[in-house]
Amino acid sequence: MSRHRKNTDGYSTVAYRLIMGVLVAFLLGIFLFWRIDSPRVEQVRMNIIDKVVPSFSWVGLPLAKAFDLLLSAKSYEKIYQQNQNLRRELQQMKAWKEAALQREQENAKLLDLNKVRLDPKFTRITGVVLADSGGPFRKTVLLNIGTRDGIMDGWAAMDGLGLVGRISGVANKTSRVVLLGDTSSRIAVTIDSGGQRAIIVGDNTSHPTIQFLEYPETVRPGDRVITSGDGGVFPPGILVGQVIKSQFGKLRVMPAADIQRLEFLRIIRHQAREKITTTGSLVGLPTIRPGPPKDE
Amino acid sequence: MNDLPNRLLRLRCCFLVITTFLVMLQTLPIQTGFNHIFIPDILLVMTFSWVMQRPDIIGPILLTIALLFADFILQRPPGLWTLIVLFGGMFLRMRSIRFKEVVFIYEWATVSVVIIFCYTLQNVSMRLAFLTPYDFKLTSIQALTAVLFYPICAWLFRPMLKARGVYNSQKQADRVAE
Repeated sequence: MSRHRKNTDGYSTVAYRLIMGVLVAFLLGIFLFWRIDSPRVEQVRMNIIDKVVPSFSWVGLPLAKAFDLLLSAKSYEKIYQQNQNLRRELQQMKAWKEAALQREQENAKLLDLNKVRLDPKFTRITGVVLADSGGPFRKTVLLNIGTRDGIMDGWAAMDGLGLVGRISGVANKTSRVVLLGDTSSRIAVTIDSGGQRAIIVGDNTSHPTIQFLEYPETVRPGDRVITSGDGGVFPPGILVGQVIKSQFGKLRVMPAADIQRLEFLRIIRHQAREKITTTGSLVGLPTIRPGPPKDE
Repeated sequence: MNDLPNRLLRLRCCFLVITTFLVMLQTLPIQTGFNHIFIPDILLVMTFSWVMQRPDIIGPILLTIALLFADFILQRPPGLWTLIVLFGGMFLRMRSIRFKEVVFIYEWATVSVVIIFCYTLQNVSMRLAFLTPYDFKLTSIQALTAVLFYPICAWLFRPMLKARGVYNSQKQADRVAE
């Protein structure tokens, strides 16, 4: 008995204490450095994730898909029926697609006649959700697009209908989207009726709160909430959702996007608008000073 | 606790592989919403149960590598949770030998206290560093589920971690000597 206690009791040796000391200092150092210079460490984190997480996908995706199948397939008998329905709907969709294409061409012609310059915000990149934050405290997802696709920090992420969140952290092949419900998410919005400005603040629930309203009593449940683009970082005019009133009388937003199941996200390309800093100068010919008369 | 060095190395690698697998499972984009089924921090529970059963496998360096990796991937403040678990783990490691011959309840109670202490320490240190601490309700649910999950985890890994080879013959020899 005494013998194997001696073997395992290596906890008071010099080497052990040295290792512990070094590790504690190292970890404390990382934490403090992160606290002081968060952007740099977050960039390192994004780079690590960029290396690691895409390599998960070859194991992870089949698992996720299998889980998906378990969740969605209520019974196997219905699959055939579903398939038939889908085929029928696909046929209809094809017809609609044809119609849409024709409209698009027509639209392009008309726009060309008018020489309208479309807002460049309408270009978008679509990415696939690779991973979520993996805990109940953060609400973020990881996308498979990054700097090589031209993604930049602060751009808006939408699903088909409404705003989902914003890009926060970009690496070469991946980027992170902070969802509306995350506790660190703040987005400047306008309430559609009345045009009041507000900020929606995530609080780790599915319905983020509306704060900093000037006249909360004029806002009614059901009003549309749209990004305002205040501050110039975020593109304006994206649908966020509808105002709802919680049971405690607090105003919240019900997002238009389906945040429960995110698969594909659209990132809206947005270049910060150029600022007009000077007031307009006098229009007209530049004044010519009468020079000294020339000799002939 | 002498074991074949080859097997020690294998178990250590195994720990790292399981860690990676757990982190991967957690980040699978199955549920992006807010109605979470509460899954305990399995990595924490596993670390503690391994430390209690085989203090010779989980050294401070291995523990740091595994948890720092998880910290970085899972969006936690890097280093903080690792540091806390390192303290907790090494505290348990020093005492693990005492629980070899007592009823499992004592071991469970000790580990539970350490788990709760870990979560409390996390909350306090986040406040000290002027970070917004995690939601108290969620944290307490996590701590509670971790405590409840510990016996299952210990039972699950026991056959895998059982010392073989030299250790068993040693133990028998000890018993004979006693």
